[in-house]
Amino acid sequence: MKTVDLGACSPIGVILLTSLMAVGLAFASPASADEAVSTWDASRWSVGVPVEVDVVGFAVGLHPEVLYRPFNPDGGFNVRAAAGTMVGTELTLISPLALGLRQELFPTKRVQPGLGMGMQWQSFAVYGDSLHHRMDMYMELTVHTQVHDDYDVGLQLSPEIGLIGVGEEGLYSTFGLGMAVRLNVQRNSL
Amino acid sequence: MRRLWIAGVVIGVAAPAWGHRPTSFDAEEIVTDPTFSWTIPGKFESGTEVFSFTLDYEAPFALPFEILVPTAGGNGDFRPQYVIVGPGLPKPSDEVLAALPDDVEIGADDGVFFEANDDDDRFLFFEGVMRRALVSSGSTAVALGAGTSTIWIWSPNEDLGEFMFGFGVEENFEDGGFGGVFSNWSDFAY
Repeated sequence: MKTVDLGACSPIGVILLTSLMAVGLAFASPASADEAVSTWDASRWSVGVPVEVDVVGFAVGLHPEVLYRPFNPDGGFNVRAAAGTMVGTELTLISPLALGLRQELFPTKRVQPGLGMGMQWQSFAVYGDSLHHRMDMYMELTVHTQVHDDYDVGLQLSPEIGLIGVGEEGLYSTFGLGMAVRLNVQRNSL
Repeated sequence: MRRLWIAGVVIGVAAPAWGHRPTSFDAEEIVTDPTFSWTIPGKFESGTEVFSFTLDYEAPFALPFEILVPTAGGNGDFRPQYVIVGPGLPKPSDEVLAALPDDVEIGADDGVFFEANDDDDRFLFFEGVMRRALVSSGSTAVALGAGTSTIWIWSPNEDLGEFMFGFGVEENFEDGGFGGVFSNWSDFAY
């Protein structure tokens, strides 16, 4: 029988998620309910296709991401979802899903620095071994430059901290590091 | 009115990283306390090196030993060997004596445990902190007698490569053992 020992998970995960929510609330622009629940609005969405280099456990690949601006289509507050595959010499890193928030500090300027954080599911396909699954907390330091009305290019630096291991025995507390560098091309307003 | 909310940001406290405590063959005292776990990295640059260190016990003590090699850089086939020489161990056979390098000293009251590291299928260990794969000789528990035991590590065919020698199970970072971790993190961390 498989067991899930939620108590075994590091309390840092709870603290970091609380931090994430606090950051989101700190930067979110208040909006009316009507605005937040409006139907499909292309101006609220962006898609990026970054080339990612993982410098801890070397791997290179694509890590596409979708950004959604729930409050203000012209604002800098983004909800981020991403998935990607990076191939390395010792392992292939598969990230089926990352969910987080990104705040661009000057969204109406040509150069847009940003900060973000979230959680990322990491699956390490170690050559000659099985898959190792882990939940990481990631942070982001980004800078994008508008090169066209609808296109940005940018550089993203993303430190990662492994918090929760996922194995046959269930969830367990763990610790790990990561650092991803991404060169991004992003289309805004789909 | 649309402006940023001001909110406090909770700063997470770094989670401790439990595991073998790192030390170095260059340290003045390589193993300061043999009752908990350690890892010692080394590199055969000429192939003729013989690494050694001692463990001193006031009473008999049983603990696991293993030697690992990182798979990166084509190092995965490297098979360094080690021998433990000390009280409480069986006397060596002629075959074992013939396999030992000349540097190994065996006292009249000493016995030996010899790890030939020649299993066809060796355990592949994924070290998630730095996202590395290492091949292990296999973790073997050895009961050491009271007194001084010496561990000798060598490359049998003068092959070149890197290794990590690990032993013990108990963790102890009470006296600030993290200094060595962060100053030379990539050498240890398993």
